Amino acid sequence: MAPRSTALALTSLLLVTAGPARAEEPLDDPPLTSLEARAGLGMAFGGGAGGSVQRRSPLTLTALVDHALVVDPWTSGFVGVVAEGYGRGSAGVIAGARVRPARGRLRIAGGAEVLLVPSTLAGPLASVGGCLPITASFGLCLDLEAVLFVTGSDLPDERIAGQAQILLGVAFDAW
Amino acid sequence: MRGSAAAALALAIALAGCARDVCTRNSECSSGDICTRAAQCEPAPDASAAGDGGSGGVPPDGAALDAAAQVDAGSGLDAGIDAAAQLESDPDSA
Repeated sequence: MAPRSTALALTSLLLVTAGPARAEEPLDDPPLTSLEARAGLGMAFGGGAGGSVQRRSPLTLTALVDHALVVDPWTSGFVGVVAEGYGRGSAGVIAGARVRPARGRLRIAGGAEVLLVPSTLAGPLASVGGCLPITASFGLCLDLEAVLFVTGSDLPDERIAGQAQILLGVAFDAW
Repeated sequence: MRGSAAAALALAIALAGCARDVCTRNSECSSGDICTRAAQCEPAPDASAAGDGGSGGVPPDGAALDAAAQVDAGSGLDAGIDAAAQLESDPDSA
C-alpha cells in the first residue's frame, strides 16, 4: 500500500512540475535571493534488520533563505531552520543546494538536515519540485522531499529512519 | 489548482496506508521508553538503574533490590559497630 501511495505522490508531483516545462514559455531568471516558508506532511519510515515500518510523519515547518551561486546551470544554495510538531517537537537546521535545469520552474535539491534539540538526528535530503509565480515577487511552491536520518541520539539502535513529505510553501523574492 | 488537488489526494492516500502503531524514532515514545528494533516503544533496559541515581534505594520499578544483600550489608554494619564499641571499652584487646 505504502509504496503504491508513494508512487502516486511522485507521479502527481511530476505532473505539477512538468506542466510548465513542456509549455516552453520564456521564464524570467529565478530570483537572486528568496525567502521561503514551507509546511510539510507525509510519511515517516524506519528500517533495519527487522524490516521496515511506516507511520505518519511529523508536521515539518521550514524557513529558508535561498541565494543564487551559479548562473549556468542556475544553482543556488539555501540554509534555514526547521521545526517539527504534531506528536513530537524538535528543531534544527537545514542546508543544501538547488539546481534549476534550463532555469525553469523545476528545481532539484540536495543537502542535509540536522535536528539539534531536544535530541539529535542528522542525514542527507533530496527534493524535487517547483514554484508557481503568483505575482512578480511572490510564488507558491510545491516540493516532494525525502530525508534519510543515519545518525543521532534519536535513532533506535541499529536502525535508520527517514521521511518523505509533500511540502507546500510560499516564496518571496528578496532581490 | 489541479496539481495541488492531486498532491493533496496523493498525500491522503499515503497517510491512510501508514497509520500503524509503530515507532521510527526514540522521541516518538513516551518518556523513559525507547524505540526497539521491533519498532515498538518499550522501557529502556537500564532505565531502572539510571532512574534511581544517587538515591541508593529502590529502583523505580521496585523489583530489583536483593533482600539477601540488604541483610548482609546490615549485618556487616552491625559487626563493625560492635568491633568499634569493643575497642573503645577495651583498647588492650586490639
